[in-house]
Amino acid sequence: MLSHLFSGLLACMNIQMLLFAVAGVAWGIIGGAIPGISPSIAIVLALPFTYHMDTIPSIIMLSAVYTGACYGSSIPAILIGVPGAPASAATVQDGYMLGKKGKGLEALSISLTSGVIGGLIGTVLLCVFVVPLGKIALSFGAPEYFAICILGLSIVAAVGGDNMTKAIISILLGLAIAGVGLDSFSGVPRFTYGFTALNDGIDDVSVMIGLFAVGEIFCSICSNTQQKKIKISIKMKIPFQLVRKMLKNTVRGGLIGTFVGILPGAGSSLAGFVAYADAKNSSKHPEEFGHGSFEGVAAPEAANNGCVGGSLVPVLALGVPGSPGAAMIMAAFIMHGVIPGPTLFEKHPDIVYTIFAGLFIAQLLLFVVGYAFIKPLLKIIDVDTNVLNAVIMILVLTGSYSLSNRLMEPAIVLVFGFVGFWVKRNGYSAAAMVLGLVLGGMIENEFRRSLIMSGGSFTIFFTRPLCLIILALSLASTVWGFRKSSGAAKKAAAAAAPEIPVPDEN
Amino acid sequence: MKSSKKCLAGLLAMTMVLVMAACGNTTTTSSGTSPASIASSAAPAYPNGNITIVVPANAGGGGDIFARQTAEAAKTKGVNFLVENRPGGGGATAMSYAWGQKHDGYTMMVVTTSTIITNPYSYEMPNEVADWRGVIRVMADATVLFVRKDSGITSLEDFVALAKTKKLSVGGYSVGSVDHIAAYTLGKEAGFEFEYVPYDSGADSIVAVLGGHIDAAFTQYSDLVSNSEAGTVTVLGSAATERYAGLSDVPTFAEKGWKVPDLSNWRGYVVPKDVPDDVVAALHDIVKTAMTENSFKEYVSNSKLSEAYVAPDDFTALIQEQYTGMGASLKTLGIIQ
Repeated sequence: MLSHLFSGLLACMNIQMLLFAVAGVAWGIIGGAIPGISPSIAIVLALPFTYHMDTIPSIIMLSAVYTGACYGSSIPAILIGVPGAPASAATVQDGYMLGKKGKGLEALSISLTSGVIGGLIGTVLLCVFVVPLGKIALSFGAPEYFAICILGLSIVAAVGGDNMTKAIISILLGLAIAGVGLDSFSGVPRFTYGFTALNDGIDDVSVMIGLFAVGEIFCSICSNTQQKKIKISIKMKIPFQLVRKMLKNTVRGGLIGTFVGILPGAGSSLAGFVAYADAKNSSKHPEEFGHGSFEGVAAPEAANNGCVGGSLVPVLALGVPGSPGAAMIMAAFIMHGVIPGPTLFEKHPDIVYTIFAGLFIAQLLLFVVGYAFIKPLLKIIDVDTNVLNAVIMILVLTGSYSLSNRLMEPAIVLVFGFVGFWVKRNGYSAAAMVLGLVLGGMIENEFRRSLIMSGGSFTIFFTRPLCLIILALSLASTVWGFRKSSGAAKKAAAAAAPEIPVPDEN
Repeated sequence: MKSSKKCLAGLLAMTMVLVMAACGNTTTTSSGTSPASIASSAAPAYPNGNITIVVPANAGGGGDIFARQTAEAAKTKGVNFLVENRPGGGGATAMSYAWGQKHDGYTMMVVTTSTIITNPYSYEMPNEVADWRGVIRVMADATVLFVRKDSGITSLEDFVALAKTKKLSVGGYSVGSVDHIAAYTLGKEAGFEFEYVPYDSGADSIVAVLGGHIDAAFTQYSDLVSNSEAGTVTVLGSAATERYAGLSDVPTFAEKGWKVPDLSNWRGYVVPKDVPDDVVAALHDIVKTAMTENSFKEYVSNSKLSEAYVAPDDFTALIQEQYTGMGASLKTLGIIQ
């Protein structure tokens, strides 16, 4: 295997391949940073450039785009509080707080280094354990997926901010929004009130853009306080000491990301949230979470980059995509006449190992290119808020329109902009709402699928060992999370009380 | 004062985008058909310029690759196709775009079984199915029934015999899909009952069968190729009226005496019904010659699809027939009223 990998590395080590990879990473970062361009859309947009390339360079370039895009979405999350994709919805809480406190440089560096380390973990696991990891994916049936979703819900205490009741209300709202659209088992329209445009459901990307981006813009329009100009030191130095301190969280995040990435359909946003909750629950300073904690940036960032490697496991081991991004990479394979799946290792081992090598190189290039991006990007903070708001508004509205070429999406963005405004004003949690929305559809479908499999009997959730273990974990995580979070909230309240005056309600 | 300026900036941006989007819409609809445009385009030298292929999916999807391969193959014959992706609304976005162009044969649309047979029942389409006429059906991806290799089931007869003794769980993509109709019709014809388990994608149902969570599933063969070649699954039968070239060793349900209609996911091209006959004939000839190009043949065999040529008028009739048949099946399943 090592010799294969070595020859794969050699194949990548020519100027042409490296150029493709650099271009891929750079486009990925830019695309990922634009709200409305998810990693899979970033790949789709790069796809036409690869039509006339050979198989290997095109796959390397697209994996590089995927790698870059997973990192890129956190840049606006940290700088302007707008996650570029749902995968960074967990990062935004702490990343943006850090940015506001003038620690944007450190936050971006942590996000980059953690992302690269998480991505490397995912790649190593992919290279070494692709076949056994594929078996793990197979052991997950509908009941196990249901249990994973419940585990996802159980972390609401950790991601939902300081007020537990409001966090729970937020996640329930998210779950309710997920119920809109055609019932996927009977085809009956639900909560669409006769609008066929709602049949497809409410897109989580549009909701997220509305909640975070437009909500933030409305808030800044209405706030009377002059924004304080923050002077950031322009000394570009990676804060290695901080990186070392974050290493434990980064590694855990990377492992969580890889694992969640393996499960087809679970998605990188769930990975980010789970890693965030894990970091908070194991942290010595849980009270800092939600108020600007570096750990709260490192863990989800490592997780959503770890997902890249993870989501390629089902492609290579089972011949089915593990995420929308991986589905696009799979389409590129097929377009070049290579059918990914269990036979790929026998038929085209060279391709497999070149991809592994390409992913390694993409991670390293991500570090180099990402580093070069940080300094110019920090200047965004200096732009006048009014101008910035206008530009963001244009970007998010056109971006959301491009999601499906319908005016429905910009409308959803605006509606949820008002919701986001209300949420921010009243201390509810936008992150918890996104979590609920992301999980809502899955919970329902997997639950009903399980019951169809069992002929309507609930015992299916208790007779399958793996499912039972995950459900038990969810229970433990709920109890532990609430205890930890309520303790943290008290601490945070005590710490913050003397500093923050009563918010001005106009 | 300050805050009103802020509001203004935000509002301006919003208006600008909405106006842009609205303009985008009007230009596509206002450039509709005028009698003059049809008359002038019926000039003998068709095609005289680029022909646009509208794809109701994003780049990288099956329909997109199909269109691009057609364009590539036609280029060698000196015909220039432009591929335009208009994803969204289950094909509605592409349809209204294609319908909004001149009906002169310089715009044709990729159709698959889902865009024109099943989706009109679940999405609101801008036109009737009967508003379109077939140019050519090019190929098909058979809908097949498969089980896990170590399930012990090796033939269709085994499967049906087992299904009659106990209720099996059979998966497929979504409800009201070709997979669902195939499962339902086979059960009715062969006389067994089963639980249909709908999945969010064909890939998910494959994973569920591989993991042993359900007994069998229906999916399109091209999604199954790598597993079928690796020997992890056994393909039992296909819902087609004849054995397709790529699937010569898999029996059809029809040849076993079970009247299951052709539920393959095919791909072809349509144009609005008022495009003149000679233009349709010319367009058909271009695509038909392109199909004989090596690059196109290679693409069909690489992606494990089967050539399934149907001529223009037969294709129009086939679309109508399958569309009506689908409506009847969906009614009996209680999915539509």
